Amino acid sequence: MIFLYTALRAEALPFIRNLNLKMEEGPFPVYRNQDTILTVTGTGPLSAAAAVSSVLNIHSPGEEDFLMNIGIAAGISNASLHTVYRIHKVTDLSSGKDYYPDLLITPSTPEASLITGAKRYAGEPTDPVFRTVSDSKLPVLSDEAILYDMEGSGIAMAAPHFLAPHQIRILKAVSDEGNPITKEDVSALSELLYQAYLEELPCMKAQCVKEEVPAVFCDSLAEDLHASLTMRRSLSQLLYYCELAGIDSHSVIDSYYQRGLLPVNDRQKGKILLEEIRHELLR
Amino acid sequence: MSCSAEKFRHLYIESSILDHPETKRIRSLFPNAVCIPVERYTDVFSRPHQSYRAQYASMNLILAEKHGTAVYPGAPVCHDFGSERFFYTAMAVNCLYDCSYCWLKGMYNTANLVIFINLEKAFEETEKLLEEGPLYLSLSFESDLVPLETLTHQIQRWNEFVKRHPGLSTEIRTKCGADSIYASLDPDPGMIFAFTLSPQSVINALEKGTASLHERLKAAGTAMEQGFPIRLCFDPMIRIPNWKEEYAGMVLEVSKQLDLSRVKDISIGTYRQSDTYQRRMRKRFPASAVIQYPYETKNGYCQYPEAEKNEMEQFLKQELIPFAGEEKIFLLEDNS
Repeated sequence: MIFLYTALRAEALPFIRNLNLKMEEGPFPVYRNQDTILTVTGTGPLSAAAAVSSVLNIHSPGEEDFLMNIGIAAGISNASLHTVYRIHKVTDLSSGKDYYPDLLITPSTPEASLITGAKRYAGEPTDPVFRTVSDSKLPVLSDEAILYDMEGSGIAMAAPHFLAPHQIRILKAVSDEGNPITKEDVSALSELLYQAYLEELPCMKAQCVKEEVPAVFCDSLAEDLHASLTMRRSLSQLLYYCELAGIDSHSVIDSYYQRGLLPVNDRQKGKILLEEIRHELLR
Repeated sequence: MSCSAEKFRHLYIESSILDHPETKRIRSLFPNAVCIPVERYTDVFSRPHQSYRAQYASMNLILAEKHGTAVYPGAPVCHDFGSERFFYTAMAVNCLYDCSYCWLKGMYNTANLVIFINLEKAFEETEKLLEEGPLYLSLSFESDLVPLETLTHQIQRWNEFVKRHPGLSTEIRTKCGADSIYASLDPDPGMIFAFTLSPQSVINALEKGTASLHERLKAAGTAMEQGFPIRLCFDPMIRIPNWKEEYAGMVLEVSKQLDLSRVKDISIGTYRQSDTYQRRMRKRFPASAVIQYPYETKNGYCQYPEAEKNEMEQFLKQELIPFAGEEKIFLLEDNS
């Protein structure tokens, strides 16, 4: 499942349209299809965090799933207007805490750091965000692209409770440098973000791969051995290892049934037989 | 496996050392890497729920300053080779190689590599410990330093340090086959190069990215000819199918390439892992047979059952004695 988060419905429109997402009832506006759930979080980091928790709590993401926060941001320094950036570091302005999504497989999209605050960015030189960066109160490099938004840290703070760092991606398009923007600007940038999402998608799918593991069923054998909980765990681990190592445990165990050695009458005999089976399988 | 200019896409650098000459030197080796300043290295290194599997193919480098203690007492499950004072230092953490059984996978949940640039801190603490008497110091406890040498220069600096401190015996353990490094160092009895050796079938299956057995033996031979004391470490032994034939074949290969009477000593050990780390590794690597093996737990450590463990260790010891002599061979019980 792909979990998408945008702050504004306007940012979500290209995704809703192109992915044919249908609205669902819930505490937050949610649009979904078979493999994508898009949530409109509203503005502010707290709202974003609440939206992430609300949706991921219900859907319990696994190894193959990932989350993308997609939206517009202001450029504070070294950031090009109307450019999409992948975010490698998010700083929450109020707490000073940093978050680091893992950017593993990377297309050509440039990278940037993101600062998140609860208020709109008003631009240099008076905005406290600008002064925080220019006065080197945050650790930044002189040539680093730095953006500002109002949701990123909420996403970055909540998502790690459900997902690994490589399953979290933040894409931001630079809309302004503190000046007001129009609805048309938002619409154009949202289309740009949709294209960036399409480019990002195969990278995310390639790095979010579920590891296949064998299933082991040993309840019946455990009963026939009168296994205690400890014995059952040992048996389960033994049979699981045999599956991984390509050892044919079924034939060996079948031979014990065929020779009338299984089932046993009591736990003591079961313990001895389990040790014998172990030795037979692992020699 | 080496540190090419494209090896690391991201360098996370503690902001306090951005202007350090060593940081600048390392940054210059990776001109295309994206540099990300961080407050503390643990902000990146110790993030929850990281995936080693996902990260290993795109490993990142973290440059940091070591705070607190840099030299620690040695672990009881490691050979101390008869030394009463066994310590280790870890000024590089994690490894370029991906060995399936490595304890680092239980200790850390990340594949990212950390280099601590303030090596002088380890030197200062070692000098303080040497005031109380000679000691044995493992330098590559949490990493393989040899393939990292072009990046860190730590072996070169330790080489110079060892020469100035006769009471210090150091060990650098490696699975690297690169042998040009040995000509650039000054041989000293206090700098032991220890080569981990396994049958090629084990290397192929469980020691990804490392040098072949042949390459390791060639490197060991080069280091020996240069004048360095050489240790061979058959550790951990893994109970693979046909293990007797595999390990016997390996000993023959080793004896053909190296004069075992000239090695300083040999250590033998079977797989062992703290119970805590084993549980973590089983959760993180559900498809790894060597980690999922049904080891026994004894005194807080997962290992082969005593009978199997002794069988394996004694078998290998007997195979090695004709070539090396019994007095050079250390088993873990010899620590007591």
